[in-house]
Amino acid sequence: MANAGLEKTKIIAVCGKGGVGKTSISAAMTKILIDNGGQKVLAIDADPAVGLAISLGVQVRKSIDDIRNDLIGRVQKGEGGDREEVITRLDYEVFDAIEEQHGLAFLAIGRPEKEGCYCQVNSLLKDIMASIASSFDYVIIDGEAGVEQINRRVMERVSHLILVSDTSAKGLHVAQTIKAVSDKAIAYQKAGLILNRIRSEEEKDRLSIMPELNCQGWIPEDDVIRSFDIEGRSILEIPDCPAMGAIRESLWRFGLLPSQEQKKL
Amino acid sequence: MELFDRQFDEIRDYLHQMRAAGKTREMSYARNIEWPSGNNRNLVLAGDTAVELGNPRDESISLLLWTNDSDKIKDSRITLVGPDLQESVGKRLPFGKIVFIGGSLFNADNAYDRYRELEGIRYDMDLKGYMMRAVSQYQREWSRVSWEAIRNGLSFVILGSALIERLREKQYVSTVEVIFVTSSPEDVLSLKGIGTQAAGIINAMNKMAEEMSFDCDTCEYIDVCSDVTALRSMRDALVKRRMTQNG
Repeated sequence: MANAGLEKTKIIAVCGKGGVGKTSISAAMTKILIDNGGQKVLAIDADPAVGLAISLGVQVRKSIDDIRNDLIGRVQKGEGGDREEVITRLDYEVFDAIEEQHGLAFLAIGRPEKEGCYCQVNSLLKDIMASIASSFDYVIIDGEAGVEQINRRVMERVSHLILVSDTSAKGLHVAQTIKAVSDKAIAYQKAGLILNRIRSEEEKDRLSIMPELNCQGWIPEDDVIRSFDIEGRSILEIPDCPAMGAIRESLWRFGLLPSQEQKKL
Repeated sequence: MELFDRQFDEIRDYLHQMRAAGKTREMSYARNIEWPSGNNRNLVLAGDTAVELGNPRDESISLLLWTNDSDKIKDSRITLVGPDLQESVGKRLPFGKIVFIGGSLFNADNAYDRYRELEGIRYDMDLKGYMMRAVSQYQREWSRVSWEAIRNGLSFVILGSALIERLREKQYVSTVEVIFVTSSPEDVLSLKGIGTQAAGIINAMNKMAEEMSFDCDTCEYIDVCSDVTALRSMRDALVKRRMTQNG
């Protein structure tokens, strides 16, 4: 499998406790990277509820889980073919499952793989997704809560781990747990925390954040992003607002986006 | 009689009809074309696509047939049925691709391995601005040509020539002919029957190569083998070889 270009691809995993705003942040980051121009961006929805698809206004026709189940069904009927045939077919099917619109490429994982079952199929699918990912400049993965996937090594090739939390102690605790697990499982280039739905700078300053979480920015509570979320409108259409500005700033801090000054150079 | 005699004849008849309808153009292999490599990062997204061929929702067929009789091949000929890439900008077209290969000494011992090797080459085209996805089991090929590639002059002569060049790297390949079809869904669909026959022969061959059992009475390809003498010869050769191996 040709993964030679993968080191050029920035693979960003957005993780955190459920309900902290991971999906909106993933969608907003996707929009910012697309708007940055000339870059190929693949958004992967690893949440079975396909929240990222809704946030990006994408209709999912086929998920990785559908492809896996179809192949498993064929294998059970003795129609699997040999390894090379399976690889080319999966590559074709996965590429067909990519939804494209407004400069965005989107892939839904569907239900997560079953541990221990059909590990060869899962392993081939991982290789093919890595191969396809290697053709993009950025891959953004919106995970479930996060820890489970890191344990399953689905995200073992992640280069940037973005932990998201609100101000709750529970949110920060989950971020810390994810960080601890990921430190052992992922050879990432950079990991850091983004605080979401902060009402004021004072509120942010009152929080005691463990230094190892490496806080890279905070996003203000913003009615524009909130209304898009409530109305189920695509974040790709969102106008500039304070939350989008803060997310852009965070991407720059993570080294994922050139600053305005660098752009001018 | 060889494996694909009937399919060669039917495709020649098909081309004759297409020619009579004024849909074909015949071109020759262009030597030493220098098209840059995409370094295996040939991703062409919808927004960058100038021409799309054989999308999964459109008709598509892709076949590779071989023969020991090189006279059956019009060596280095690239036949195009329908518009060329430069005439199809902004369009999504149905797509057919047929590759005829004339070689030396394709036999029961090597046909399966050679077929796998040639299939691999057919789908391994690294041309900048040209993205291909293909599944041999579905006999489908889906490709996209970028705006940049169109501006730089990519055409079916270049695609066909690059393919001919790659296939000729194999010593046992002496002649290659390529046919592209882009004219209409119906013209691509007309080749499906031939594709189904060819798939039956290839599947029967694969089964023989992969399975130890030669019980024809229970085999789903019994009709195909009854029809194609070369498959029966292949089977007999394999049975004989296994008997020798087993003492």
